[in-house]
Amino acid sequence: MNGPGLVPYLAVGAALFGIGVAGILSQRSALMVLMSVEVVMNAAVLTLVAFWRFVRPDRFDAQVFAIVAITIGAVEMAAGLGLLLLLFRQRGSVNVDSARELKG
Amino acid sequence: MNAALCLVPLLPLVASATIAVGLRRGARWLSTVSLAGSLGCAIAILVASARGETPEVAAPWLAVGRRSLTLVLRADPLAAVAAVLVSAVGVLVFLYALDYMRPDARAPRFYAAMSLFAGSMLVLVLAGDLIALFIAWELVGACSYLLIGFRLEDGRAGPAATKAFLVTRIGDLALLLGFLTLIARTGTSHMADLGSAVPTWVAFAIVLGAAAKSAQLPFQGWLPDAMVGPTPVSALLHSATMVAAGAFLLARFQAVLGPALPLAAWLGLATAMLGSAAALVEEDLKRTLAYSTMSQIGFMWIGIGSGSVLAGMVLLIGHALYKSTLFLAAGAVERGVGGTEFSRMGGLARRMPFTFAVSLLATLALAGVPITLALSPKDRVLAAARHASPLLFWLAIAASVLTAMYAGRILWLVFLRDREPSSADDARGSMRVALLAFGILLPIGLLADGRIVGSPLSKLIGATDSEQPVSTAVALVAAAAGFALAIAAGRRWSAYLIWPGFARLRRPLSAELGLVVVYRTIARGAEKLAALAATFDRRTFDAGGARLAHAVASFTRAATRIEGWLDSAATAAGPGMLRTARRASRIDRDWLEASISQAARLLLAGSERARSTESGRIENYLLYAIGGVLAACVAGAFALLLR
Repeated sequence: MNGPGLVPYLAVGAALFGIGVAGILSQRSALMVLMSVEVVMNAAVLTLVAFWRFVRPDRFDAQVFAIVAITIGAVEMAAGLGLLLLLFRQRGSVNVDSARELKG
Repeated sequence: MNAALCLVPLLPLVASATIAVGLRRGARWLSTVSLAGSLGCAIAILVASARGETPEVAAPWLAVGRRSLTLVLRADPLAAVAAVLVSAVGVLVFLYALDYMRPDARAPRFYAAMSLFAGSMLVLVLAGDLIALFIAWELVGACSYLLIGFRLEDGRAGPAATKAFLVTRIGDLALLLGFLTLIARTGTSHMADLGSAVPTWVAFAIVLGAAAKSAQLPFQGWLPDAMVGPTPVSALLHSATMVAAGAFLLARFQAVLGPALPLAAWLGLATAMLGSAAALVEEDLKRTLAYSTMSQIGFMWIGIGSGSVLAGMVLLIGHALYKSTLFLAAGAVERGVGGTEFSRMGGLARRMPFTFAVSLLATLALAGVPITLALSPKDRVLAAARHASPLLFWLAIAASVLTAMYAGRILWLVFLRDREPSSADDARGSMRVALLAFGILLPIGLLADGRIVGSPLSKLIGATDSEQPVSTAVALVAAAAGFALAIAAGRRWSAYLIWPGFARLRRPLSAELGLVVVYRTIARGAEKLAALAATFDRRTFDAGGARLAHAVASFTRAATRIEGWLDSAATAAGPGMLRTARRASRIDRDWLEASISQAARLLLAGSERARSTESGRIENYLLYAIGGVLAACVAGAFALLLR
């Protein structure tokens, strides 16, 4: 098999995951948090596809799984953006720091 | 030649990506020059395909099981002609935008979207397989959304963009289902392997998809609203991209559509009639042009639906030339008088002689007057219609009389009518250059129809030319009659060039027949569903909560009563117990109470500390979640190691 092996894909996946987690934890805008969540999810999908390609390329259920995951990601985005819109309508900003009613 | 084929769509796409990533200063030049490069490559490909070559590039995309999907770019003659058209019109529109967009602070965004628009349209015309075609199709739709909604500060832009996107989406769904069926049936997505005929419902699905993109009945509502975008967007969207994509798709699949072709022809006729009638009563220049586009695309559909791809394609080329000219002239007028309503215009022929000259040329072409030695593109459509059905032919003639009338009306209202010219400057700078280029291209292009391109094009596309002198004569008479009517009406009712009774038609004509009812029904259904859900929620959950509270209250009452009994029993046990009780109470106070309050104090301190974790901050909760997952991973790893 030509091209890069399994490890570079996993490294990129891990890097994406790290970037996404850092974004989730550090971003103030809910939109950016949502986008970071998406990066994390895509890191997972990338890892999944990499494993499929290099471990069991003869079967395609992993591909189907990846497509299902991407679909769920799209749905999750729609729901997340819906929440975000509500948040914005309620308080005129999407800064996650302003939404702290759950403080115990 | 294959490299050139790749470069055609790649250049504008790369330019778009570069601008999107952050290039600001040179955005306008980069996009213009890259599209000019595409034009060069497209011309090279056209020359090659005239020699009989068919450059083709294929790239495997993904393989699932036994099936594999390959993306193909393939320049057959039809595609090569369309690619040249798209890139040529695009270059001129970009050139025009150099000065038109100069005052706009968000110009880089505009150029990124426009380059993407042109690039995806080039992929669309050059696509050699269904998947690439569909991807480009969707990209064109997304770009139109971005560009129609470009003027965010205008409150109408957002809804117009959403409307365009959603309405075309209905057709996209039909198209996707049709394509998937085709791929499932033939096992390949390559267009050359489709076979001779497709299932009937797939043919109808393709026509439906094309109708939504081309704003044909019953999907026409989005097009006039889309005029809130900047004028170069309208010029590109109306001539070479977006709406032309529908006509192109129809031409591309014409050979296999079979039973759906008459439907396409009649849909086209209905739209042509409706569009020209609406253009006769509209009060806004750009919206008038939008209705005109609708009706001209309708004519293309009549041509293709009557079996003549050549007629449709020639009209597509001619229309692209004169409609983008008209839009660019409209942009110059808009800049000159500060708006697009007819009420601001009039008598501009003296103020803007240059714009007037170019518009005159384009309007005559729109009306179907042969302004050069060559024939007007519409004649071929009429000839094809005559071949298909006499009724279609005569109705199409009627529609072309209407076309000539609204063309005359535009000329009259904007340039000719006797009115104190407002202080308007003529087009300047790059706007002038682009208009001039169109002014030169227009006669060449229309001349080309008869002499230079017409017959070679028919050879290229492999379609037969069904030109007939009778329909040419009739078309001429129609155009002359329309113009005469328009000028006569203009003299009599000079204000709006409509007789008062006709003005009453404005509302019904601009209303969106059909579709709006469907939308309303869907929206009402959704509302009803939501109301039902709310009722359900109230009945079950809220009522359940109330019932629970009631139960708790009655339980508490019962408990109080039991306690009262116990109380009285204790009183009855009386003084004998008093001493014991005192002793017990001392023990209670000194030992039990002290320990209990100590425990409570500890608990309080603990919960104070625990409370600090419930910060209400989203990122803290996410941190717990991530930490939990990591801990689970570490535990899992340990478990694996220990095994």
